[in-house]
Amino acid sequence: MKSWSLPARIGFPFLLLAIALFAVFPFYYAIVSSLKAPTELFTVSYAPSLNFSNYASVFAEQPFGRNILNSVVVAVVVVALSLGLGVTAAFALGRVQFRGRAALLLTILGVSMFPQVAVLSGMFELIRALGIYNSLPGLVLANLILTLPFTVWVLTTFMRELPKELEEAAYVDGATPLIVVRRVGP
Amino acid sequence: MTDRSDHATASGGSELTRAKVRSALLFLAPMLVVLFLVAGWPLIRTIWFSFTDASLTNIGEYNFIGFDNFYNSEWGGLLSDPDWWRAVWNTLRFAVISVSIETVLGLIVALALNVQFPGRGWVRAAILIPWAIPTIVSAKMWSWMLHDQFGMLNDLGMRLGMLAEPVAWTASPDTAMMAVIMVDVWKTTPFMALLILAGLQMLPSDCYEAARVDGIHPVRVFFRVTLPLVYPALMVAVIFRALDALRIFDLIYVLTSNSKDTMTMSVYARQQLVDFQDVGYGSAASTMLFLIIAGLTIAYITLGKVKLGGDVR
Amino acid sequence: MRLSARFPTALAAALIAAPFSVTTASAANVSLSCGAVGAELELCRQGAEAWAAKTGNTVTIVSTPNSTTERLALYQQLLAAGAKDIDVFQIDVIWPGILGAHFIDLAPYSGGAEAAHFPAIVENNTIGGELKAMPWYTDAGVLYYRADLLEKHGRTPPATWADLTETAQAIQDAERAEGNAGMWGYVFQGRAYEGLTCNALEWIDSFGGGEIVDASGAVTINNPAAVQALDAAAGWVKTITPEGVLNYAEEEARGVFQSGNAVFMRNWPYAWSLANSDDSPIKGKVGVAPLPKGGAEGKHTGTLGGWQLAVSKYSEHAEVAADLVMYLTSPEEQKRRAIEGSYNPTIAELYSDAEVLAAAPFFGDLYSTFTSAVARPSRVTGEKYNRVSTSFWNAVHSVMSGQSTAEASLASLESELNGVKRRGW
Repeated sequence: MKSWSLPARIGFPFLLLAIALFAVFPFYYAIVSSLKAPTELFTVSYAPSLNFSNYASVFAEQPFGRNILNSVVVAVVVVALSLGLGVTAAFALGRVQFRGRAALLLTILGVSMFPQVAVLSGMFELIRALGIYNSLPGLVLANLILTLPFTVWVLTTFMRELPKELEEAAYVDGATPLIVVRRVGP
Repeated sequence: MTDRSDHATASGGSELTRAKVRSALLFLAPMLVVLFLVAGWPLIRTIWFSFTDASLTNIGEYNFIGFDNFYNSEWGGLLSDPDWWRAVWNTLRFAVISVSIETVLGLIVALALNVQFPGRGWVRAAILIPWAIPTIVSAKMWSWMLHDQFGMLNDLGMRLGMLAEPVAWTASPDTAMMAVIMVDVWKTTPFMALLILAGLQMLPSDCYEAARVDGIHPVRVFFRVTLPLVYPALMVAVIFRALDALRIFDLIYVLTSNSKDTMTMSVYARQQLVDFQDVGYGSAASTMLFLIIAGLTIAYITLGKVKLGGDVR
Repeated sequence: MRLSARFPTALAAALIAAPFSVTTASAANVSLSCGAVGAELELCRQGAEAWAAKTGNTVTIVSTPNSTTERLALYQQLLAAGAKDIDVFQIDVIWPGILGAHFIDLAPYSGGAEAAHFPAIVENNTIGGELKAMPWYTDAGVLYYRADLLEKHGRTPPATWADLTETAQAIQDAERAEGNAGMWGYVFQGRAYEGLTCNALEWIDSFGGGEIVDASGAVTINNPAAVQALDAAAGWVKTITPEGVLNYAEEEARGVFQSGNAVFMRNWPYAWSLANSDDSPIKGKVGVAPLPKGGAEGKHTGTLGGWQLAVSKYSEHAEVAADLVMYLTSPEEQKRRAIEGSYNPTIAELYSDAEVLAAAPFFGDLYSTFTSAVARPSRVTGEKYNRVSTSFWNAVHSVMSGQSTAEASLASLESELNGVKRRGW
């Protein structure tokens, strides 16, 4: 920054301020609005008035605590499933050369590009047939289409970066590929 | 980044190689099964439904009607529905404008963050906030800020004298698309910025040293040195964003509901499917959307291969 | 880092078991969907809990979206999936035709109670000879006005739309000249959703323009009276109505009126008790009148609204649920809701009840509006009603936002509706 001209050096902090403000202000305003009393909501103000009645009524009128718990549970299960399925698949895709590997990788990437509405009617029928409509397993199933391809793709990139020597040493010592995944991979 | 596992098969089919290939396929199987279940099967089913007259009230009973959902002489079909083509036009317009703006702004933000300054970590964390908040939440946040009577944007605009009277941002057909693009830019610029920043930080610094020693103006440095070098990373970001923008749904639905001025292809397909209960017609729209995106993806991959072939790494 | 493969399976098994509540033989848990926010939800909750205390069962209130369009989409998905999550549904007056196949016949459980309700509504709820839903409260669009402002400027409640336009403009200009810059003349529901269909049907019917689709299924919307109605309405935007009305539903319009920023408002009767609540800035200053006529030859009208209660056929305790429905639609409960929330009863004798009339005087004055309200063509168009309504509200919205003229819009609407008709209704 030392080599910069004076106008650039003065203007730069303003640019940073503009960027930070642009990113954060709507969030700040949402917090300010949430801390307003119900009658104040129809007036515009920028300073927070610390009224927590909205938070109280969210938890009282809606089962919000339960909603949060549902989100956490679904997130944990989806991540666990994606990782579990993804690690083994990524090992295969990243370390082993076989025919059609490139095409398979591109197809998996393509799935993450699906417009979600394209699978909507088929997914609705599937979930209804399995009887898991409006339940957490249904949510988990629907979320997997979003997380699984991306997880596999990212893990494959990481797997490619692993040093080859460690793996080859394990093979020389007589390990099977399964053991390699479980011990060497992590 | 060469793939060193290529060496393994160069020596031919050794026992270890065959064992590795076998176990590779075994490892792949569970993931592929699940992927087929959540993506492959529903997609096939959707394409199947697009050739029927299924209805959501009784999805089990339907008749096979061939291409009638796409085009027929009796009541038109998808390809002669002006609402569908308006949705296609809205989607393209939205994608082109928002990705362009996001790229430019993302570039500016990335360049700013590439500079070493105290508190850089904080600013980086700050710009992640729009990207981190779930879309539904930020859309609701913005729709309240854009409210014509009680919204902050109109209030600020009037106080600063930029607006004579409150603007109905999400309601008026002139401004609705603008409002949606504005919110999308707010949300996705951080994503572009971070991808471009990653590309910028991998650039060799000797070019800059040489340019500085030669006393070249920074703007010329940017256009002649930085931009060509960061171009590949930029293009990847742009393509990802563009494909994402073509299938956008949640932002438009929350901000403007089923309004015709901002209806994208995804919103249209959902309206047919859920609001009108017409599974056949809605699936036809979904299939068309899928084909358009698949076509563009394949075009990118084919063209991308040509580009990568000539790339010097 | 070792991932045990059994962990996700065990978790998944626990998850499958968890959401389903255990019911005992004696006390059933009935889940009820009624209302989403505020006073409506509260009234419903009170009634349901009173029944629960009386019968020894429990009730779970399931919250659903506030917009009727979104609520219908949710119900359709739920019922199409055969879900048992909701036993008792609060359904709009236009939904029996669309959702009827999923509800049980209530006649065996009603003990003839439906005879006391308005016959038109009971008939509306009878599909294929079965009583699919019990009437709970009825609704019709009415005109709210600021009695204090009309008095201050020496005006009377308008009889025709032209009167309303002129009065609203005059008072708006006068109030703004006095420094009340945020004052508008008339607010209503102008967003592109079912509420706009209600508003527009009122305008068109008040000019004598018919009901979009007549009882025989013929499309009648393209006529000069309808063109005149829409032209009048489009003229209000940006003159006496803020442009934001193009995105107003019931609550947004009420927000503008109740904070004192509008002279007239079109809304449903529920807004009466809210406008007169203790924290309302306009308490005691509001009057209610029937919506204006189209011209001297027009008529006072209001779109028939109202909600009913139905029992899902996928419910595990249909009998208990039906009992809840009969309790909530009984005269006592309807009277309580009329007094506390100004929800119109569907039982004729309650309109001459002294306590009800004391709480909401306009129930008596506007009785004929409620009994002769104009119905949307949901029975005739059946399953296609959603499409018809969407096409209609889009056509109206484009006229209101200035994107097309009334003639052009109604002409293309007519051909669009005829296209839908060819697919069967």
